[in-house]
Amino acid sequence: MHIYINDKKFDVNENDTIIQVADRNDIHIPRFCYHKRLSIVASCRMCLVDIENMKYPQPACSTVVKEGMRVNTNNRSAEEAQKNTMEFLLINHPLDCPVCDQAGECELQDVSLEHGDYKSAYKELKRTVIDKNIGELVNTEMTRCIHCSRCVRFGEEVAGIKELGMTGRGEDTKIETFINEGLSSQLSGNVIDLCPVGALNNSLYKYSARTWDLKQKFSISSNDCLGSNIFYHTYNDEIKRCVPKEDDEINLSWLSDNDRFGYEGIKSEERILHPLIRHNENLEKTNFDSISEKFIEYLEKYSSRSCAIMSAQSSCEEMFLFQDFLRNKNVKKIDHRSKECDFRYQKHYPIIPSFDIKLVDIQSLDNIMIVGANISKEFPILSIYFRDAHKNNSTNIFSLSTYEFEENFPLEKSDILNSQELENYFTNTNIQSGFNLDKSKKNLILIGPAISYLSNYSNILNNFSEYAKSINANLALLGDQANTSGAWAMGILPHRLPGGVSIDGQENSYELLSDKDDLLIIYNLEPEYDFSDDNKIIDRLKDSKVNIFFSSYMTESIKKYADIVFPLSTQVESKGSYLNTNKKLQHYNKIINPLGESREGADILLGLCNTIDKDYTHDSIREKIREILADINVSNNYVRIKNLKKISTTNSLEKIIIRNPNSSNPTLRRCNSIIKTHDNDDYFSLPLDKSVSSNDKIIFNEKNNKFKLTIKQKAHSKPVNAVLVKIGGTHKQKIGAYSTEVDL
Amino acid sequence: MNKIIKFIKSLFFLEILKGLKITGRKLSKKPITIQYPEEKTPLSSRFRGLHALRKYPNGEERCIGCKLCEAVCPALAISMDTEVRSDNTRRTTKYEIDLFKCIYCGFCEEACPVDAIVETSIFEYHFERRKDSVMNKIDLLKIGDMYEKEELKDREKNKA
Repeated sequence: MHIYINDKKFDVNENDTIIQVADRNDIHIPRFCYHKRLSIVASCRMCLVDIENMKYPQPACSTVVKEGMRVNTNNRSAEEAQKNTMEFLLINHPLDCPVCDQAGECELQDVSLEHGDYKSAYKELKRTVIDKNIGELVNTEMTRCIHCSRCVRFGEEVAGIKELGMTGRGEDTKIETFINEGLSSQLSGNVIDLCPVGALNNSLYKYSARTWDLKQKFSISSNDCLGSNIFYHTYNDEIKRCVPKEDDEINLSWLSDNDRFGYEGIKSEERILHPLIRHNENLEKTNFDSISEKFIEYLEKYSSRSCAIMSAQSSCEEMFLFQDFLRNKNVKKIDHRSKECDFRYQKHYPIIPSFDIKLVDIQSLDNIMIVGANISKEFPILSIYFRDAHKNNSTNIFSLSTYEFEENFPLEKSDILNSQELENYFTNTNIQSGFNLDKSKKNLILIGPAISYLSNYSNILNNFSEYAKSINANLALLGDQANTSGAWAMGILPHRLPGGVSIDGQENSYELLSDKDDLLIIYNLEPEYDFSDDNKIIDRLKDSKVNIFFSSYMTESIKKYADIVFPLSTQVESKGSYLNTNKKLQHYNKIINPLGESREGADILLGLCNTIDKDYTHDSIREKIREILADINVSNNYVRIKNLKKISTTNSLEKIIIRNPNSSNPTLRRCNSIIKTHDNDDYFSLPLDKSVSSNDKIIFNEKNNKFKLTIKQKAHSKPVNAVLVKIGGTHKQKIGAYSTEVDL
Repeated sequence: MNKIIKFIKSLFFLEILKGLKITGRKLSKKPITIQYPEEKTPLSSRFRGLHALRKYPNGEERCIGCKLCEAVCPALAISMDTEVRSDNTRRTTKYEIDLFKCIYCGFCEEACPVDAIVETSIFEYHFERRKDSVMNKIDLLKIGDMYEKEELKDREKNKA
């Protein structure tokens, strides 16, 4: 089948619309309401084109092609129609381009220049709209709105929460939130990109630069394991904003709010700008050479009794160098799983844990079982795929979790269970109530990162793997941090070298932090927030003889217990690569220069490696990583453990801390606008049958420690025998272990 | 042949007499030389001299920080930074013109949507230190205050 556009012949598919054919062949048709990933409404009338044998011009976005159709996008009739539409659109659009942030990339500006008239017949007053505050992230200037309704359709179709809507009719039509509330979707920032005019703006970028001054630099998101492709826009060596890079395999045209606004924290006042060394109870500024020397001295002294814990947000390069240097110095205990407490699974874990199938193949699945992940909050981009799968393939999605939440896609069934019930889900028929997935269908079981915090993680992993094997399901293991897959592949583990080569270790009795450690090396993790038990780590820091920190930000505990602090630059200030959950290695470059004297982690580690006569360079490391990854072959993700004992349980309450994706890494914790928008709901929830006396304070016991929480109190009916704590990155309270037993 | 005629003509000092004729004519007329700096030539109302930033009659600065002058400046003499002021408007935090770079083309004046940056009729100025050539926002606003009356007069003339 073919049609003619401007007298040129083009091959088309059935059900193509004219605008799709034109876009494929680089023929320009002006448009406002049409977006390739949203539904078609044909409301702006900007894309009117002339079609032979039709009386009036037709909208190109909604007109389906017919054999031999002759379309003209630029003859008199089409141009006249476009010019008239433009005049109507400009009737109520204010002439404030000089102050508007959209100026320079504004679709209205461009189309007006190309297809509009320089004069207007309209002489009356223009309409003004009073702005509502819709949150910290999106700034509105609704007088500029041209009612294309892209933002409304985005909420309905992609984000799954209809937050913005059109109210009123005719001239009174407004885009606004229905109730006086801000946007709460984790994908809300996308309406900024979608808005063709300057009605919805980026709050952080507001009035700080102009579009034509910005430099665009490619990078990879550091906030979740999907590795969204992004562009940072910089001006004068400062990041001004972040926008998605189109990628059909990962983030499509979208970006989660964490990625879009997650750079705010890098300018925090808590940044460490100099190398520091403890001197008479105080941390004092020094230089890199002296702390490196000191560090090596300590390593030689305590190497066999040291423990190194690295963040899984670090790049593959940093990971490789870190473990290579420390293993050369005879440090055996290297790990990245700071938030976990059950390690019995580790020998059987896949060499690279991954999302077993490609994200684009999610659409073809029949059943998806999500275990312990609030996808729309923790992995917003993934939730778009799940929504599409449900919409296009009517995929059934089931959810098992330790707490109640909402998803932006319909759930077939959702169960709320405590960790014991989760473990016994397939053996205890009381809980499961005859639920079974069809073996002949395409199934996926997805284990969220929050499950790994539980004290019976190995048992859960084993049982779900057995089940997945029995129904031929794929098992997806989602990482907690941006480079969790990379950390496993690069050997940031006590029992494996890079490439998954096993080494002997005390497999069963492995404990991340034991009282025998004299030297603690903590790389880009914050003791207060990043460890499975904040009391235990503080105790260990107190007990150990020397504590070495590599950190970008100063915290209370670093100030108190660090002996040496290497100032690390953040991800945007360094280059490296991440291995995403689809095992795709993605490189990113330096976006801005490191603040102060802070240095790229890889540079510090290269310097340290040079002291042991290893002349690595950035390029040789990159090549090495590629070689290591090429040799790894993972057939499936099943983790089946022989002779696994059940963890004996008492009947007391279990405390479960809810994973908070908006404060999952040190930089995000310092993004004030994200925290104000998405992370302000801290609570402590008790089972309905338990009660505590005071309303504003909750005191509970945990392993001989008393905790006092002054946060909102809630009650829940499920899960039984479990208290839930949700707490944000800004909390200054001790909350104890992530998963443990407590008394009230 | 031509060469011979030229040679004969030169014998009569005709060129010198021709030149003296103009001298004689001008001798009787008023001299056009002026005694700068006591005397000055008249300036056009569109003269492009030293820059100034203007204010509204109520004292509010006109500049909205749109950066159009910065973008249009062919010599890259203008640089500015902007921020959101407490009343939620776009304002400059820095506005600098390097007068060594400036070629006084007047594009900035033309680009300005709010008539904030103007080129006054001041052409007599000097710098004693190198960095003085960079005019900052305070200097420019001060000049604007001083020359507002003249500026308004010039604008009135330019309208006609």
